[in-house]
Amino acid sequence: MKKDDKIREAFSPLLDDELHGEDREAIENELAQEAELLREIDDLRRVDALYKSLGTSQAPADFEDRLRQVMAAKASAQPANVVPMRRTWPLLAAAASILVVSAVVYRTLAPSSGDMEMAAEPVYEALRADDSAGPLTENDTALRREASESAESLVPEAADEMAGAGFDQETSMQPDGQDSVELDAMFGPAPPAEAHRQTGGAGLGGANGFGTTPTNREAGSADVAAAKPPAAAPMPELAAPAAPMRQSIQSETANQPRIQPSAPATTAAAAPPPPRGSMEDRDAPEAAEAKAKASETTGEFYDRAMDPQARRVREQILRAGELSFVFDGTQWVQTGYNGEPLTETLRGSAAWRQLPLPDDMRALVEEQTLNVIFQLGDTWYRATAPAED
Amino acid sequence: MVLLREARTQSDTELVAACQAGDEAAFFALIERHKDRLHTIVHRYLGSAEDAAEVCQDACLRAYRALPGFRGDAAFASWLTGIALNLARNRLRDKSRKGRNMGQSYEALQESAPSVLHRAEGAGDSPVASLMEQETAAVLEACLNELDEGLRAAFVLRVFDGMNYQAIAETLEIPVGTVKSRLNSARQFLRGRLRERSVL
Repeated sequence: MKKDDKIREAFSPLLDDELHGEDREAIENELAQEAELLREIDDLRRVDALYKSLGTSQAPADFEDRLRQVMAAKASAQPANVVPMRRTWPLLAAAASILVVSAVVYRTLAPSSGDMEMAAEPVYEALRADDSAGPLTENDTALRREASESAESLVPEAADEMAGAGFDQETSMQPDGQDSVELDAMFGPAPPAEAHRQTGGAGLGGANGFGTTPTNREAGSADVAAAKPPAAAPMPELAAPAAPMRQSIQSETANQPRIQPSAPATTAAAAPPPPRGSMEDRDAPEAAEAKAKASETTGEFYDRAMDPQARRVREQILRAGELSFVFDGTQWVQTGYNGEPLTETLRGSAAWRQLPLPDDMRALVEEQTLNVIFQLGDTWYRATAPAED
Repeated sequence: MVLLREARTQSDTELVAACQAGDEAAFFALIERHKDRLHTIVHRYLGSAEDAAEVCQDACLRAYRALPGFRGDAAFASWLTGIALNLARNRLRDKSRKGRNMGQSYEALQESAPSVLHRAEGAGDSPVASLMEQETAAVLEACLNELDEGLRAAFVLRVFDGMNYQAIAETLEIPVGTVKSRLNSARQFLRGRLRERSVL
């Protein structure tokens, strides 16, 4: 390195009083002998002085008032904004239960009796006889009838919501009552771990836009950057033909970005439990097993068409690469990136801030702390906070 | 609850602790203390006072939400400024993607108001000192907007907020050596641009 360059490197520390002792003396001695360098550092002083002369600016006088208003508005709007699916879910669950039970009743009993009205009573009796939790009380019966009536009245509303969300009822509400679909079946087998690491999530994103951008090239590879589709590439359709209302994220799908619950089931906990001794439990052990797996699910189907911020979120997701989060009881915490575990990622903590995350990852975590939105294969999910109650 | 008079004598650390214990007044005492400083930094970084107000508000909101998890490893001022600059940078990029820059570059200023620059370049001949100052300010801001985001952030923190290198490093989450090199590069760039415009 040339001597002048070395002196120039010390200009800023010298101007900012960050150079002390012998180092400072040495630079000052060098400068005294170099008229050109002296002029240069004098210019830099003037640059600073000119900019300082611009002065400070003041926040608007009503800054705190406006902040209070926004905080109050956000606080009141939060429940609706954070978990909009939660309101919809009970309706959809009720509608799904009705349809499932109806389908099973029709398939199993109607052919033998040919009279649905007559068939209903044996089914009810069978349910009652098989109730391992004990005989039904009058109260149970009344509650069950009430629930049945209210669920029936909700069906049209739920159907409207499903139609609005782009669901095809005929295809998404499977007659066998299965409301959970294996990821492998949906998105194909997960890529090998090594290949996945090498491609920085390309196993998921190479074809569907879940790639990385040049800003993420440290985490992803050039291949991934090259494979990234143009920004205008059409988003995958939300309502895939067999898209379920909620899809389970299976832990065995290694290398898939997933949300792992640390607290008891989140959104699944909000769903009404199946009635004791239900047809689903009795007749379909596979379905029961699938349901048990679904109870581990924390991802919910996310309808980006209903979210005005979706485009922005999508851009953030694309930049973010592969994520995994865990809910620590109060917030979602990022635990992995491109298959690599991260520790100490609590949002807002200095430890987290010191992690060598890509800049855009920080933005994503900052933006979506309570409302993580992410993409698996062709489908978008929203991971919501557990029900507060 | 922290009273305003008490808040003036309490350190940031004490106010943060009070806020973490659920005292909202302590949070607003912190905001009162830092809002102008924050606004200046973001204003100079974005080149727009209006956008700065919005970004600062958003930053304060996020800080309030995140404060329970704030462990004080960095100073509150650095932490809050870091949030604001992250948001400001996102805003710059959003605008840039949409083809709109926050502040005007020198070239944009030349197109939109060439007379301003013409007078600024010949500022020594201008009889109206205040107008000259305004025009010089416009050139200074335009040149600042041309700086790379990372260099600009370091320069703004140093020159407008007087942060030392360690605080800048904490705020921008970069090593101190990088702060030094960024400041050098920023100053050299601005020196060159201002000499071209005959401001220096």
